[in-house]
Amino acid sequence: MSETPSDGAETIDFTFQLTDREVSFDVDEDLYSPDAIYSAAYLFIDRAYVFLARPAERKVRVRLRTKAAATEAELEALAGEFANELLNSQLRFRIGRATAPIREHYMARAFFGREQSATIAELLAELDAEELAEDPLEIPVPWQAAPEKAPNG
Amino acid sequence: MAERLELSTSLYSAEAVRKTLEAFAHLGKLGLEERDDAFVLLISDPDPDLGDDLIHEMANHALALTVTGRSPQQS
Repeated sequence: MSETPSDGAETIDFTFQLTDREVSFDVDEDLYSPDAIYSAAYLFIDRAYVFLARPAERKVRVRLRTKAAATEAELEALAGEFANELLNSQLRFRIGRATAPIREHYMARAFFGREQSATIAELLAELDAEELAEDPLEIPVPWQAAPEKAPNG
Repeated sequence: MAERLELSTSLYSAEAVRKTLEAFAHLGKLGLEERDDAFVLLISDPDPDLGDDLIHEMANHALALTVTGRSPQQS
């Protein structure tokens, strides 16, 4: 299958071959990382027999064979879903790489930051200090207020 | 006649292929040829209940083990 959009746009080329119960197509490793290809392939293992081959340098041929009889339309749909998953995986890995320094920064702060270095004794002392501090607004707390004695007789 | 399954050494790990052979050993006579570019699995006398699917199941198994045993690459 090939799609050629109108003038000025880049050509989108997704070509696949169909045979009985099988669809195969090539993936360019300059566009998709090995991680993305493996990730997409792994997701399809329960739905189809997935076979990877190396037809040329920087190319991976993906062959999907359905586990039961399939129509041509179903095979085309399978190839399309794989292509979508490939893009999804590629994006996920790219975002993961781009945000890695942020995650590492927060992990470093969580484990080694000064705020987290307080000992349990220090935390208890801080808690005690809060409890002992006088209430500047002198708001009575019901369970602390002394009950008034009723007048006798 | 033996069926052949060629798995590229650049895509499938040797460990995954070896474990796949162990896992499917009871389902037929299995052999392995190792070339520089491919692991060649030879399958003969497959379990008749499996029909043609044995070779494809082995390919899936090898791929799954390759993926799960692999650490992410920086690219």
